[in-house]
Amino acid sequence: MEGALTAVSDIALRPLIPTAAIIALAVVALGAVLAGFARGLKGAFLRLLSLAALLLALLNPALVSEEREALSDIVAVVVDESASQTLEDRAEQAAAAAAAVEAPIEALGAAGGGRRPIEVRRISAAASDEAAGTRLMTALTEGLADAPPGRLSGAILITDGAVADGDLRPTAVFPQGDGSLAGDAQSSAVAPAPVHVLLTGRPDEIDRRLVVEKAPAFGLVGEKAVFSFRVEQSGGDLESSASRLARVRAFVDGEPSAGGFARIGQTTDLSIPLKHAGVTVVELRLEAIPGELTERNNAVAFSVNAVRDRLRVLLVSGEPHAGERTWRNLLKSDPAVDMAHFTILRPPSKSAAASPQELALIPFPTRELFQEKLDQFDLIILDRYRRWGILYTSYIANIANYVREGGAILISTGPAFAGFESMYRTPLGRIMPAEPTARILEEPFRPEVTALGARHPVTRGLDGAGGGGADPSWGRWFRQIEVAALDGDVVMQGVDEKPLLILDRVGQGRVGLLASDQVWLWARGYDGGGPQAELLRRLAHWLMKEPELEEEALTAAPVAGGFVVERRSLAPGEKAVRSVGPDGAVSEIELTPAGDGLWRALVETDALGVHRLTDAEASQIALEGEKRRPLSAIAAVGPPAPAEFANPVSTDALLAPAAAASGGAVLRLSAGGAPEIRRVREGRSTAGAGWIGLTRRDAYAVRGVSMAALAPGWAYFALAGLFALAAWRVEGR
Amino acid sequence: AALFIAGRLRVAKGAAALLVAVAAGWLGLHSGSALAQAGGERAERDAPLVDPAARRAGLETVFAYVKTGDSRVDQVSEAGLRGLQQILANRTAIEPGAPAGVDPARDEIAVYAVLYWPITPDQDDLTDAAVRRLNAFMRTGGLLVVDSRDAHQTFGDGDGPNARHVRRLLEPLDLPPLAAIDRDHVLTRTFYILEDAPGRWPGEPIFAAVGSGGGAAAAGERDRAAGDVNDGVSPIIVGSVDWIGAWAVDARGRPLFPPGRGGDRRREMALRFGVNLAMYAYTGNYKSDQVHIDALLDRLDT
Repeated sequence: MEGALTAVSDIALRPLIPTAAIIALAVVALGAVLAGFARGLKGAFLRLLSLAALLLALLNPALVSEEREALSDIVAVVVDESASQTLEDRAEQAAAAAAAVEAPIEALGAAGGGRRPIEVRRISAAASDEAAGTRLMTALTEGLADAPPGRLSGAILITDGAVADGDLRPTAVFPQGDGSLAGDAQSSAVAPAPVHVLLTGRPDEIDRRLVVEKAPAFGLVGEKAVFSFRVEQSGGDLESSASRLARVRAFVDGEPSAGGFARIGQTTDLSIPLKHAGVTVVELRLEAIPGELTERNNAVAFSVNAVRDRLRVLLVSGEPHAGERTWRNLLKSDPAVDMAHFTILRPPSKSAAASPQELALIPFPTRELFQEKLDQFDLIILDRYRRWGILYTSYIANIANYVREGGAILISTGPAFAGFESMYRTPLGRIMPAEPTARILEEPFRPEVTALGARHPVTRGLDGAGGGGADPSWGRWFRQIEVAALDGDVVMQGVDEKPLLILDRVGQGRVGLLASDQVWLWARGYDGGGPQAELLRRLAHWLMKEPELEEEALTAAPVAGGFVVERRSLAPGEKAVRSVGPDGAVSEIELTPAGDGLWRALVETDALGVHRLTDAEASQIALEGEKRRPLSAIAAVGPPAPAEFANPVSTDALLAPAAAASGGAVLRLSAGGAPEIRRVREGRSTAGAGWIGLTRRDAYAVRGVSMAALAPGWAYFALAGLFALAAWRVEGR
Repeated sequence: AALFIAGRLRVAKGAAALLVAVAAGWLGLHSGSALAQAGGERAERDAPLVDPAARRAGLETVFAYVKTGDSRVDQVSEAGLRGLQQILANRTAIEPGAPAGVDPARDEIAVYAVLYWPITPDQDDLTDAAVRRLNAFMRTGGLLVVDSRDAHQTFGDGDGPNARHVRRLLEPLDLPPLAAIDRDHVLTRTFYILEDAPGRWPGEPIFAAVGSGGGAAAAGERDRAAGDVNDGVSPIIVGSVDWIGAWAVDARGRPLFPPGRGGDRRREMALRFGVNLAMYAYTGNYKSDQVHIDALLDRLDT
């Protein structure tokens, strides 16, 4: 701080004796002088002066002087470096403007030999958190946190005006806090420094964007999810009716679904039928118009998790047996399942030896179940069911048709499956993935997960399965119905590696066949037990097409800084997916094996928006029948249109109030480049045509205070003596 | 004709199973060398050998009783379960094999669905191994039927002479809170609709786990008992009327004991209770679910 100077600021009295005594002496002296006047003494006035000089000596006046240092004025130059500043040539505009204002300010500070310096504070408002939008006023507040209001000369904001915190009033700029002007006489606080806004961008920018009003996160399969959105436009001409229409296309799971024109500014509803369980990704794309500022806000993607209302399972047990309660415990404890259970307690061939009133037996409502309401079930489990002569062949044929049309059946066999009463010898035989050989293998064996099963979501990673050369550690079973696999995937095997659990797809539906009735031994903990609950739960849910158990799947989930791609497949080998970024950039992502049947990759990207992923080889294993959706996934990185691009059009609307409240100006750089900078005195106008003003604060700091007696003590006495001598001379004449 | 043939086939299979079981038993007795001869990697891997009785119970429906050490009582138990076996095979879809006597201290019991335990005064306290097996048995869905067989020796509503032995023997087990079952309990309608459950002695209260009766109220009580994985089915039934004695038949299928007052009707009721007990062990709360089946079927239309 170069401009040091000294200034007398005050005269201080430092009485030598108590003030009361001085007053008393003054009264006495005044009395004596008045008495002298009354008696007509010629020297009375001179006596008065003499006494006054003595009293002044007692009061001992001293000079106070301060040592002052001029403080620099502070000017904040805030440059918006957020993502929206990267549009068009805004960044260059801003850089040029910053240079164009900083140089003249420094020149002003250096003028006059630097006696009134100016400190320029360069503040960068980089968007550290793009999702939150530009926080320009916050940056200003933080940058001026240590600046006293009395030194703040002004702030110059170089921005596109798209800020999230335009209503913030930094206290450094607005000492009153509320932004009211300091015209108030009672306010002793410092008047606000002018906040000038220099806008980047063009005044004729146009941008259209999609605004989502309602996007349900959950829905029910078979019902419609209703989304609401509107198209907003900033800038541009909305006069003609054609210009008020925007073309929007909807994509469901990456496939074009619907399209049409939306009226700008009006809410449009879109109904998307949820056709499958699991995540349905809905994407809306707004067609760009010529000259549009950015297309980054022209697409939104959201995912709806479709759940099935209640899964309805029909369990038909052919006879009461030890495994029946294993099924019941499983299905009744599953909160997603509504179970209807029927057991043949008494076959038609036997008599209960009691009158009907004494029996709790009800007739099996076969017609209702297998004729009228069959398609209402998501899964039918035939648990040791045999041809009891209870179900008409036509009903059994209905079950086969129901499966082909998208239903599911699990055949949990018992010894009867090998024989004459086998359900294989019904129309159901034609959809079964295996054929009984009529042999029943009754010897202890440990079920094993096959190599294929180790990759299959139903049997992958079961507790006790062993794997990697190790034998399973779970309990043994005693009986297996020998079957010859005809089709499908053998995921578990038993005696001599014969098929034990076979999964297959038939038409649109699914079939599971368990070639043993012994899974209950696991439930009872015999020989260490086994993971029957997990196995059967997965089995039932796979049959009911639970998306999380699909063998071939591609999923993507956003994580911080990117997304994770996961690929499940039964086929071994290398997996890669193709990714199309929000900017249209295509890349190949190599996935690394992450255990049996699982491949994964972490994709780091800063490209916010929708990334579309498809299986590169399109290597769908030929899963017959059952309509397959192409393996694709969508990763929405960050908010689909971050706050930065919610409205990227440069605007004065958000910052104009702050500028006006502080006496600052809002100027477009595109209109005439950077304005002239002037230094103005406090209280003067701070903006005008082509110039902006910075208030001169003239602030100083006091470095030291010194005091000096006004005159030495003898001088007062000499003066008093002089007056006394004069009085003596006048009176003595 | 078809059903006749079917019936014959089942008999044939049963016989085959029995043969296999006998063979396995022989192998079991002559472990070691015999096994090595039978050869096969699998056989070696499956060591230790499977208990043939457990294996039989894994393959067919076998009712088990706890051997008391009193041979007379054990013979009656064997005969009683045989009588129940006959009735079930004649009247229901359950076609059991011959009953098995077990000692929970030594034998595998996880493979049985029903374990009938007649209480005698001179049974020793349960060993730790027996306690562990019985607890696991009940936890995984087995049904332990405890019968003090002393209802004829109670006067008024007091306890019989075996009551303190019931308490002594059950004391170390993890038991749910028990209560006398009411007429709505699912046990009274798992197959027959029962008003009464007499055995050799007239009906006395039957105790089962609180909330095990099925139905909405029971489900409510059940929900409060956290961690139940058995769908609320009681793991234990406690009675005192000697059901197993009433079921007992000799080798020719004739009742072993006179039916007492009430005659053949009472024996019939005892057998019906036996059928219900077996159905309860195998189907659990199935019949109480059926109360709601109409509502469920109606809901399917929506």
